[in-house]
Order: sequence, then C-alpha cells, then structure tokens
Amino acid sequence: MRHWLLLLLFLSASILSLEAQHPTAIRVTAEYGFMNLSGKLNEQWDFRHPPQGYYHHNFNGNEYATGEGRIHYTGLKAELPVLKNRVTLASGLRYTNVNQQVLPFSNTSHLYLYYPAGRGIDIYRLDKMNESIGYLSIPLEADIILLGYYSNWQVYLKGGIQAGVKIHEKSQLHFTSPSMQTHEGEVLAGYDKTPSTFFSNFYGSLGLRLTLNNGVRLAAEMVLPYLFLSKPNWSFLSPDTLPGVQFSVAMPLDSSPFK
Amino acid sequence: MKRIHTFLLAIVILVAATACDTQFDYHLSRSIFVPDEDNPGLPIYSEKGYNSFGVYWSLKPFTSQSNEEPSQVVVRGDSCHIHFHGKADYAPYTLTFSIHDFKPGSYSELLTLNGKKYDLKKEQCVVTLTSGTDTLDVKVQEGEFYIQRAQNLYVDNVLTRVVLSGTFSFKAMLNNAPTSFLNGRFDMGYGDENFFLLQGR
Repeated sequence: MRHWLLLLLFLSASILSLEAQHPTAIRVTAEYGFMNLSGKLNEQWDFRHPPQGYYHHNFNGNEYATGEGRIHYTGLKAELPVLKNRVTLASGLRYTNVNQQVLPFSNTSHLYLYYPAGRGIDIYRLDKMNESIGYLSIPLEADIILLGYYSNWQVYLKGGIQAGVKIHEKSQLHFTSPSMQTHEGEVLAGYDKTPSTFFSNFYGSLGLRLTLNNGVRLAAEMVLPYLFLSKPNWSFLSPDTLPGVQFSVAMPLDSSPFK
Repeated sequence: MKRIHTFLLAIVILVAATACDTQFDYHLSRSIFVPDEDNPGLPIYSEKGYNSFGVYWSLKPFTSQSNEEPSQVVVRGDSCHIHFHGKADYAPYTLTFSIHDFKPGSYSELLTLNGKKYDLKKEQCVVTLTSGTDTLDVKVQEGEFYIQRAQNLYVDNVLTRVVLSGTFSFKAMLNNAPTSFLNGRFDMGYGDENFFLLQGR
C-alpha cells in the first residue's frame, strides 16, 4: 500500500512539473470545413417515376431525381484553454453556406415535376433545381485531449452547438422551355416549405492537431453528421448530412513560450 | 389584290400547320409500372397518367408493357372503344371496353367520362378480348367498368392529354370456359397520338 502511494505521489509530481510547460494562451482560430448532404429529397416534391423495368419495392418517385448538396463553412474563433490545457473552449462567428441541387435521373433528360395546381394534372419539365442559403452563426465548442497531452501531436474530441440566422437565400428552377422561366416564382410559391430564418444544431468531431514551437496550432478534424435542433426547412433536400472535414489554424494572441 | 389574297392564304396555311403540330413527349407517353405490394404483379392504382393497367386474369397478371403503346381510344360508328394492350403469360392480348352512344370528337371530350360506372352485363359497355387478329368469345356474367376520374393533363401549362383512371372486374365465359378478371386498374393518358376518330367506318 505504501509503495502504491509513493508511486501515485511520484506520478502527480511529474504531471505537475510538466504542467508548467503548458501555460495558458488564448488563440485566434481560422477554420474551414465542408460536408455533403445525403441527397434525400423533401417529400413535397413529386416527380414522375422512371419507366417500367426500373423499380424497387420502396419506390416513391423521387428516384427519378438525384439530389446533391454540400455545406461549406468558415469562421473565426477565440480559443481559451482551461483545466490545465486539457480542455479548450471556443466561440466566435461562422458563415455557413448550404448548396442543394436536384438533377434528372441519369438516363433521362428532364425532371417531370408534378405541381399541385388543382386544375387536373400539372407537370413542369425542368432541367435542374438549385438552392443556395447563407447563415451567420455563433458556435460554442469544447474539446478535450484524448491522446498526446505531453506531446505536440494531440488527438482530441470536440463537441459543439451553434445557433444562427439566415442572411441570404436563392432558390431556382431551371425550366426546359425558356418561355416557362417567367413562372418560376409562381411555381415555387405553390410549395409550403421555405428555408427557416433561424437554425441551430449540435455537432461533434474527432481531431488531430500539431502545436508548433511558436505556438501555432494546425488541426484537421473529421466532423460527425449534424444533429439539427431546429428544422432548417430547406426547400429541396432533407437536412441529413454525411461526415465532413474541417481544417483550422490557431495563432496564440500573446507571445508564445514555445519559441 | 390577287397578291394580297395569295399572301393571306399563305398565312392561313402556316397558322393551320402550326396548330396541327402536336406536342409529343416520348417520356410522358411511356408506361410507368409502380408495383402494388398488396397485389403482386399488378401496378398500383394511380391518377397520374402513368399509362399502365393491370388485372388478374384467372389469378395471372395481365399488364401493360413498357415497350409498346399501352392504350388507345378509337371512336368508330356510334361507339368509343378503349383498348388496353398488354401481355399475360408472355402472350399479347388486347382488352377492349366499348361504350355505346358515346362519340367524343376529340380527346378533351373524354372528360365527360369522369365518375362513370358501367355494368358490363348490359349492352351500354361491351367487353372484347383479342389475341393478335383472333377475337375470343367473351360472355360477361357480372362485373363493372368504373372510370373513377377523368382529368386534364397539362405540360408546361399546355393541355396535352386527358387522363382516365379507374378500376374494372368481371367474370365471364371465355370460349365457353369460366374465367375471371379481378382487381383490374388503369391509369391512361390520351392525346393526339393515341386518340383516333374514325367516323363513317
């Protein structure tokens, strides 16, 4: 028992002495990240099915159209290490752009969109549909070191929440017949869903970072799919994201002890 | 004066030629088969102009095919004949419902069939079944042909066809053998390319 206590004391002293080599430094971080959307179409869009011979028992017509989307974001944050640099808190300002596109099925030339006009069956022929939305948000993040506390190379786990507002949006329908383009606003108005003004979501990531001798940190993260707290109500695609990637560079504000 | 008349005549011919130019969309004319999980082998009941039909002929599916025109409306004499072309057991057949005393002058007049239900035992609507050029002997015992919905189909705000959607079922003596056609459904679009007015034939 005495030997175990002595060992614990020795280890604690070692940790404390090494702690002195990691003084607190506020950093300013520039980040950039992106992730793809799953491409699942909102159910309000009803497209004509492909011809006979192509069917699946879970068919719902949206297989006639291909959805693609990507989220890009960039931002500036202030990072504050706490708990003897084991945990880093961060917040700042982030711009997020959501791009969605709906294209025809591979072996057909047009999208045949059923429009709920009420006078019978209304079909519009489209070449594609796209939407671009921009948000400004405030992220709140915390990351904890998993591996490499005593090393310049560290593996960390991050969790965060962000809330933001929509600052711009543009939805477009590209009609096959040029003369139909004047009806774009009327057709879009016929659908209930429009992008909501506010959005918030949880996110998490697993990261790897390198701290240079001058205190600059370079990091790369695998970002897990977003968990939306509010429905963003994008017009064309559902808010299901795939894992993404983020890169960041953090500069210490004060003079670095790692020179 | 003669030149003016010739010029006006040329304009009239050009306008007439444009008016006769039918908008034919190949993709909208093709048959779309969405399987009905509750009726294996048959398409779902739909009202979207999918150009498909299906019925259990003695429990075997008789359905439209993707590589041929699935239906036509032929107005001949005093009747309107609605033909359904398909295959049963890989053999081609045509099932026809002939509505007497109904002579639409154009496909748009098919809208008057909305909600019409016909007792197939009566003379007003007669069923025939053909295999190639052979007409099979069909004597209906009981059944009905129901046009649940007739509606216009617009493509890019232009009226291009009328869609007839409905159901049918009947029991009959076919070449003196009892047979049944059950759980039939159809969803067909009729436009300039498959509406035929054969007056006086």
